Amino acid sequence: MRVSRLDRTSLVAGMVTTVAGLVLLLDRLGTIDVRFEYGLPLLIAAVGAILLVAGLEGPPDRD
Amino acid sequence: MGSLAPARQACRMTDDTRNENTSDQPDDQRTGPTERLPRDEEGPPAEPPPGDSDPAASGDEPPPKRLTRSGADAVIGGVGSGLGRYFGVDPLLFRIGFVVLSFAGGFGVLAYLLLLAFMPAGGDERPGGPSRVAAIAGAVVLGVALVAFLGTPFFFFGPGLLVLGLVGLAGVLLWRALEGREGGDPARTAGRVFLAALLAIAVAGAALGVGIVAALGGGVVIASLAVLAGLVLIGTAFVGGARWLIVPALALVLPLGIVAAADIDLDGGVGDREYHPGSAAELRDRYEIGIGSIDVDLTDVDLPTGRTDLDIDVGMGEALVYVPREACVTSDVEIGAGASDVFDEDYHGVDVTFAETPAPPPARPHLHIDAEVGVGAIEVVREGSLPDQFRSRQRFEVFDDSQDAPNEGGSGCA
Repeated sequence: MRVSRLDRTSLVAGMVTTVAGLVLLLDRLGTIDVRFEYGLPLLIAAVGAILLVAGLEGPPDRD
Repeated sequence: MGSLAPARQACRMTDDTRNENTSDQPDDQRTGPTERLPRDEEGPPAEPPPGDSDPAASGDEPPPKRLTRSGADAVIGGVGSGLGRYFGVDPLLFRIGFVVLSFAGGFGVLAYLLLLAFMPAGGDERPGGPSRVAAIAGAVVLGVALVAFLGTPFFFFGPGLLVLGLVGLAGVLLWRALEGREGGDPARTAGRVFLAALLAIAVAGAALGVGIVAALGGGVVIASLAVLAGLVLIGTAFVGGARWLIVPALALVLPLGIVAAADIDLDGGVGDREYHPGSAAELRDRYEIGIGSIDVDLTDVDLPTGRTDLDIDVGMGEALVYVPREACVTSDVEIGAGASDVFDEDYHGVDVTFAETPAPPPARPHLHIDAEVGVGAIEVVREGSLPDQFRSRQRFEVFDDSQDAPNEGGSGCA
């Protein structure tokens, strides 16, 4: 019986995307004001975190 | 050999890493990895100790010492434990060193990320192996983000590293793409590069479309889709993952993030617009352009005594406001990314805000400019002066240099 392994890359990417989407949703709704000063580095860092986790974890299982 | 070979070779020594702490043991009691590097990756042969027989001939040549990450006792990425194992000291010392150096201009974080990317795995990680390209790309991008976030006062390297990091990342990816991972077959390599380029163009086009839709007012929908994609990614992570969804999710988040940070609003349409009202009655409540340029020439307007509001809204582009000589002008300017030049007072960069609100003298016309620019520039000049940013425009060539008076007096409210 095959046991599915946790895919950390998808997990991290999902968490990053969810948080970023919520923040941007609040911005569009006028609740907060996202600025370049901190928004852009955080977005870049989010991409970097996903890449790093993907690189350290390796390719997904194919079995 | 790939681009990483120099770094990889630099991390390799000529002793056995795992015997570092057992140097007092006899040679015949040492244990350690018996794997050998490929011949072309080995460093120069070590000098045999005096009096020893040829180890290669006897078959007792110790395997090369390798600086590798340790997956067994890793706290984050196994860099500290790998260094500790290599040098035979407590890994905690290296971890403390990284933390301390992180407060010295961020060097510790950068060094850790680079080591994380370039140090090979120690072989005690799970099968499948890490992707060095992705790890390097991630480390570089994180480093770039750190530099961008901390800025020059907190990071010794300054914004120049931002450019270097991006160029380096592009170089690594390009090198790897051209490396010939298909056994050196040029046709297959070219095919991979072509497909990668097509994919990049498609993603860039989709991201551009997402950005335009967001700037046209669809930001709430796109943000909701991004949250939904994120939740799907989290849910599928426990059943094997859906990594194919990562790129589309990022294609939603990144352009929306830029639109949100710059507060780009493209509702105003596209084009180049010029307004030259002849009287105060012809003034609009709001002058706006989505993409393009907008010129508002108020030199023929006889502004009434008291406050007159002028709202300027530019999504992406330029705005030029030409104000009457006698008016007291106050301004409140917000720019996502770009520059403002209000009476020769220049500001540029991201998140540019400029507010000049002196108390207007009584019995004088008072013009208040409230401007929002997503990405671009705004310039406010006084009648009789030539605008700096727009000198090449035909309509301002009617002013010769003799009439080019500086914007003396600033707001004109003194």
